[in-house]
Amino acid sequence: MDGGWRYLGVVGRRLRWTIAGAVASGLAWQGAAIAAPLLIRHAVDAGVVQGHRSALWWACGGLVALGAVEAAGGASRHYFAIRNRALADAYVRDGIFRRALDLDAHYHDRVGAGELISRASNDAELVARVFDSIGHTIGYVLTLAGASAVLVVIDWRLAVAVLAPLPLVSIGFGRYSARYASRTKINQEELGELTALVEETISGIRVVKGLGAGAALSARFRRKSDDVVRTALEVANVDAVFLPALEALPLVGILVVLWYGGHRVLSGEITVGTFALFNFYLALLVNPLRTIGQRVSTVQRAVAAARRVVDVLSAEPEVVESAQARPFPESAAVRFEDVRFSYGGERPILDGFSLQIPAGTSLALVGATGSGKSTAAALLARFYDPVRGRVTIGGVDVRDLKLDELRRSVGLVFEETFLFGDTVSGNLGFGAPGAGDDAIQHAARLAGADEFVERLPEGYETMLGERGFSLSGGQRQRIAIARAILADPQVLILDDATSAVDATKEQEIRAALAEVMAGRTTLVIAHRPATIALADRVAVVDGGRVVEEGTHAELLARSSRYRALLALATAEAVA
Amino acid sequence: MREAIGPILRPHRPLIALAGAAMVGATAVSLAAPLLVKIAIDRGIGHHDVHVIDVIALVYVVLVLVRPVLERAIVLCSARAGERFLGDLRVAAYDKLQALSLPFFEQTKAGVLVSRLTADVQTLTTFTRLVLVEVVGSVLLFLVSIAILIALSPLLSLVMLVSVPLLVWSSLRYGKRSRPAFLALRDRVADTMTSLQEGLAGVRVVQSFGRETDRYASYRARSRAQVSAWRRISLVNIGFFPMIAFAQSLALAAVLVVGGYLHRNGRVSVGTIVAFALYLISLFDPIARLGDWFSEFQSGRAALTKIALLLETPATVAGGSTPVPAEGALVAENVTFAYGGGAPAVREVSLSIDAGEHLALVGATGAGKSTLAKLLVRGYDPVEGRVAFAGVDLRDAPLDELRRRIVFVPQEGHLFSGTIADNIRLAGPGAPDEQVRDALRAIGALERFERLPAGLATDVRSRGVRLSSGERQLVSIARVALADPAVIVLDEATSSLDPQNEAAVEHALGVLARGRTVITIAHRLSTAERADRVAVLEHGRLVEIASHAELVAQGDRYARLWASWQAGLS
Repeated sequence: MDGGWRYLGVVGRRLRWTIAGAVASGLAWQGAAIAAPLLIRHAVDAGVVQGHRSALWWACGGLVALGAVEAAGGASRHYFAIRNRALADAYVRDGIFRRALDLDAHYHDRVGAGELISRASNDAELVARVFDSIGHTIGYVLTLAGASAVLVVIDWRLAVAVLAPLPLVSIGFGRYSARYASRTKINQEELGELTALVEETISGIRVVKGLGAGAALSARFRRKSDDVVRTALEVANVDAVFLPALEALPLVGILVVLWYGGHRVLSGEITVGTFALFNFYLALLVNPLRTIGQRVSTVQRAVAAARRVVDVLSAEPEVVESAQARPFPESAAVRFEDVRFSYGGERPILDGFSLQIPAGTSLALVGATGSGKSTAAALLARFYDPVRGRVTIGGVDVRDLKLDELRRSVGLVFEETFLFGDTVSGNLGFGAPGAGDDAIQHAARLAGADEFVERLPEGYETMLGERGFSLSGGQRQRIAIARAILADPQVLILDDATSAVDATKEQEIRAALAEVMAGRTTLVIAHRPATIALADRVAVVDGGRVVEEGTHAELLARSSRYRALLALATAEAVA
Repeated sequence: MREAIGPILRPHRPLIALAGAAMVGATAVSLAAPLLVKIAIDRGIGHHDVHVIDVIALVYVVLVLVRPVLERAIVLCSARAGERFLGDLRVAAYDKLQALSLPFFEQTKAGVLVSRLTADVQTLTTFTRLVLVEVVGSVLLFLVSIAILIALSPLLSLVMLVSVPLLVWSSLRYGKRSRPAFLALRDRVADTMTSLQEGLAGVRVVQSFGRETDRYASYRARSRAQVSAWRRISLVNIGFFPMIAFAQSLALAAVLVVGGYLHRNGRVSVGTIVAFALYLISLFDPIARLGDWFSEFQSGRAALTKIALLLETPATVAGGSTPVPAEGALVAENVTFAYGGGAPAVREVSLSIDAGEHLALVGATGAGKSTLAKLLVRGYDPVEGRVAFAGVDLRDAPLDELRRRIVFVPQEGHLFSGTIADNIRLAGPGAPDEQVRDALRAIGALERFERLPAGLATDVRSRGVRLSSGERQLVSIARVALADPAVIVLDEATSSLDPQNEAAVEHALGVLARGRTVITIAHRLSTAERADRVAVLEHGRLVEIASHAELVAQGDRYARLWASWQAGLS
């Protein structure tokens, strides 16, 4: 069976009790609706035409009672529908988020956050709609079946004449469903391209504005948008064939009742009440047929969405904890042994990369963009696994260490700082929940963040992030450094973590950084000579391997390559 | 909202009118049935007249044939009007993005903008395709049914009123309770989304601190809160929609009872009673159906409002109409600029850059180099003072003309999906291949790209993962060569390339600079050394401006910078 359908089945099993509730209430709701015309017939025949007062009263009392049942059934149908929708939505979303947190960097490099968010919101919503409509749809199916059955019992000849076109519907249904699915898919692909163009434009807006390329892009967007409109209309064309046919069915039935039924009343074979009854049932069928027609698209879209959800859920992380994982070692000596690594089969970023950082010492990696510095740092925190060779801490291959202990013991500060929508202290304490205010302020002081934090409107309680106070790049980096310091990792990696801190400020926090690095195994990736000089030793990386090693002073003296790299890298010096 | 959406909707009015007419027709057809039933009962069955029944059936055959045609017209017209309207709306929103200036993009999250043009428009698709048709159709059915009921029998219509108090009471209650419930839901949804977005966008940080479980727990709590918000909505709904079904039965029962008595007095016919009962179904069904579509209707309206807000955002930088000469000096006169009411980022800067001159902007991070550069290309307008090119205030120049004269090149070479040639052609839409090649040849990069398997037709893929950062910079330089502007404002890349690429990029920039005014935000003092003049900024002020040699000789700020730069190299 198709993965999308199977996933809908999984969600369905999960919600079986509320679905059962939805089905039961859907049946009660439409069951009452089906019984009502029978009472109307009684009221017309016995009450109105023959003038039996008590029959009239009984029938009408019954109608009110049925109305109450219908209302109660409808109420619980509404309740269960929304309940199912909310639960299915949450279930899908939760599943995706949980999975995404466990997936490794390989996956997240390939599938961006935007894509995952769209899975967890849009696709979850599409899946949830199917569960929203279950009670409703089942109720309507009952109406179709029940009304047909009642009609057959009351007057099978008229019923057969009225219901003859129904089998045609089911044939049409299958064809409609298939055509709808294929055309919707094309439309979705066009929409995907359109979305990509919007994203590119917004992320590259400086280029667009700088070049005045707006007109060219607008023209391209217009073409893409036209494609979307065209393919959407092709979907509508399928609707335009099928939906009118569905609507026409009850009308054909009414026609049959009017003519054939009318003749039969005149010949005395059926009563006026029966005649009215047939009309009532056909009126009852209009909505169900229409709604069931619309469900085809709900289900088709849900299946497509479920397939996309399954894509995420079935992704397996390549970086997994080994069965005999060991605790983090006492000594944090780091070794890279002849490491080779490439991102997804491309040419290797690291090849024959060997490096040693004795426990408690610091080392700076220096090299041009793309030389593999950050990759080496990511391998140490085990965001990826090497293709060949190994990375060890305290003599133990990082692949044999408990993953969460490794991650907590290796603190990694990236150039791109990500802050959460939380207070400053919440952000600082992210890696060390339960840290006291003193510890938080101490870490902030070491990272040179205390001064500006205290000047913020609400100091350490100021909200940061998307909807909060926006900090400059340098301030954000200092928060990130403080966050890492507070977690007190045994191995600290600063991956270009001070690039946006201006040189004067960096000068000021150098002493503090030196304090943080003292006695801690530290890997620093930096461009500014002053920062590099903080490290005990320097390794020059080129073409995916370490080509030179020594202290800053030694390399400056002996290596022209090193001097050239620093010359390129020296950005704004002391101003 | 009307001003923004109205003009976009206008061209589609004929189709909308057509769909509306078809809808009225279709409603009339569905409402004709009970009337025909009534005639069949009273005239045909009552008078034992077979002829009447045959005539009615014949009339109905016509209706049965007309109805699918009308239904098809509704689907086709509403889909055409709807999809084309949405297409136009999307294009208008995109054009609006092109018209808005940099400050807007710096203040608005990219994700929000993307969702305006994609998710919100998508929500509107369901809205225009299904919801609108359903809602308008239902309202129409409801109104016409009422009219027919009154015409059919004013007396029975009065009887029907027994259900009115129940309906009024429950709708008032619903109106009062549903809005806060839906608003609360929107808030909970936003909470969940924020938590989700943060967790996913910051997944590296979460993983590097090993805090997956905490993150998931805090997200789960919000996800649960969203489920509870839905539950409150369901409770509100329970109080309303089922009441309609009950009110319907009440009305039906009342009509039958009273109808029965009236029939005995000969005041209504059996046919009227049956027809009346049938119309009651078409009266109440639409209300119930409205309930099914209500939340979709609300979210569609919300999406439309959000897009309208985007469309109504005033462009902070609008073009003028004074023609811009092809060449001239770029002059800043006493320019001051501050971001959104903060401290000025650029203060009282005056400088004049002659045609063909190369100027380097130097200073610490936050000294105002980038801001000044953006003012020079009219990314922002100064708060005080003015910037003029060839004597024309930038604010008076038509924007597209200005962009052709003065081009800004950001640090990173951003690539768009498509081929390398497409990417270069961004600077000159419709430029023939030969011109694109000339641009590449001029900067000495043609051979390098032609060596690729598919040459210039190589697909760069989204965000250009396959091109190296050196190659990306070359593409962005080739764009400028194709645009052939008089002035280039260049934000020098801070990150270093490998020596080969570095040399290629430097060569390309050198060629490009020839005969043009070039203003470089210099991150390396070697770049400043090569410029004709160097402008040193400090805390937003222009503190020194002269040639490299003069400034070094002066022995002031720049000289100190230069000395420490030199020291860093040795």
